[in-house]
Amino acid sequence: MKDHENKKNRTDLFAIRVKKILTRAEVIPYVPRVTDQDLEGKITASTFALDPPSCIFDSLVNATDEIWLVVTFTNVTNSFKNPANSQEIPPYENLYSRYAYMTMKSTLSRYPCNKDKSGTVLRVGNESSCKNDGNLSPCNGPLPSPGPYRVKFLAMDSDGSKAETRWSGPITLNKGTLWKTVDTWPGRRSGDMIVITVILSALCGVVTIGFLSTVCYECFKLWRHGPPENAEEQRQDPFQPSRYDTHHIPPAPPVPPPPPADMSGPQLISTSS
Amino acid sequence: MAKGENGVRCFQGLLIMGNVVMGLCGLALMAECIFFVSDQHTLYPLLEATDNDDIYGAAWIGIFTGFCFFCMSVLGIVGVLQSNRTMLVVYICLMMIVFAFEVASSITAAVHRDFLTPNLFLKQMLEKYQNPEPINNDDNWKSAGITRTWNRLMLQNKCCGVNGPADWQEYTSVFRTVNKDADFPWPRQCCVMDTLGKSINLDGCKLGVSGYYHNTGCYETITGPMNRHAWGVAWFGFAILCWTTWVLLCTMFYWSRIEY
Repeated sequence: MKDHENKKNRTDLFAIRVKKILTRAEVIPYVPRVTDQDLEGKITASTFALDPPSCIFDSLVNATDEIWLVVTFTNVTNSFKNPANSQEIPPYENLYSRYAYMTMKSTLSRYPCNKDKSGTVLRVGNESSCKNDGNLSPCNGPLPSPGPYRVKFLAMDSDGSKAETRWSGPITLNKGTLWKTVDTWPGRRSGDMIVITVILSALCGVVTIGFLSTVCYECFKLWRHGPPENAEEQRQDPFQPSRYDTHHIPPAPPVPPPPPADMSGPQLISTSS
Repeated sequence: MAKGENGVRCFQGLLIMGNVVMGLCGLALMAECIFFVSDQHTLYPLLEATDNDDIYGAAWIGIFTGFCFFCMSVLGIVGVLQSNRTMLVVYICLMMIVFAFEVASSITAAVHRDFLTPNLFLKQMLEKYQNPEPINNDDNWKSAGITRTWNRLMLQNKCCGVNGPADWQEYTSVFRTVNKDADFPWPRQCCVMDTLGKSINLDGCKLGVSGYYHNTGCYETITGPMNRHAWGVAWFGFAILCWTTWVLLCTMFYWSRIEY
């Protein structure tokens, strides 16, 4: 009887041990997400800012347990196995070889249960230059590529993982557009420019035409009147209005000749006849 | 004859008035263009780096033509008063040359005003800001100018990037490759500084918490003065040319009516 009882006891113990090893950490229905606070730099080319898991682990985790953040590329998310003990925790360098690492080691006290969440975010990739110097602080180095990444929070005690959240949705980082592709062509022209260009071109034309017609008129006058041999005599009265001669009316007979100064009369006759 | 004489006097008066106005406008244009090229806001390095500083070219032409208009108006007035054909021929020919120059200045200013797009400044900012290894001396000079100008602009005018701090994130740039993204999502000059020139909250600035970084772009600060000045050069030049056109045509008419 006693033996039987003992045996049952051992099976129970065995069962418990098996259970403890086999069961995965308890999954909390919380999905980590990039903060929805209005932050200009919450996602950059190598960092992203998460909402802290406040009030998530309170019922399941002791104050001494560690809470980690698991970061993986999306394609290895399903194959990621929670580390069984603290020695197996993948450091930052593993991101380059096995595409997953754990960082942001902290405790429950870092995620207090107050309602006022504004102002606190977890910035993944914040330490631009970090070395894994011992185990003092796990490296939270910059993420090497735009990803996409998935993250989850994982609570661990000395026996391994204890509780975890769900995986976040894929988080894609900024992948900058190449500056060489920026198009600097202004596209449509402004009305100003069209108006000024058109009108000024027209004015240029007007002035040119005016100049040419003046020149033509001068040539015409020269041709009509002959070369101005008598310029010197005329100088004293420069404002004499020019005469209008029409072709079909013969010029008036010359005024009686007297003063030899006025030579225009006879000259007119000689050229037009 | 008396009526004709009066008419001539009236016409002369009209021409002289036209020339006086033209000369004074020429002086004003020269003053405006000198103000423009003196670059009060020290924005010239930005234009220089785009290899598109023709707006300044237009202003330099404007200085020249403004002065010429003034001199020409003096010549015109004397020529009209003396009714000297030779003088007026010289006046007309020179005026046509100056007219052509001013047309060039005005059209250049108007055309290149359109080129001052945000992308123009964005591209050269991404390409040249903090460029550590310029390919030649010229590039070195331009990069230094760009870096200096942008640092000053962002600090003094409390702005960041061309359209905003996101410019530094949305595009690859020399700045991006030179600096670590986690520390410098945007230049330090985008952070709100205290009187000692230190960021009042560096982490807040890096995260982009409003109040700790400048969230407006510098585009307005840059193109505001440039646009205004180019607008002035273009439209004032345009107005002077419209005025000059009739003065010139009337002078030609007057010249053709002077007897030898």
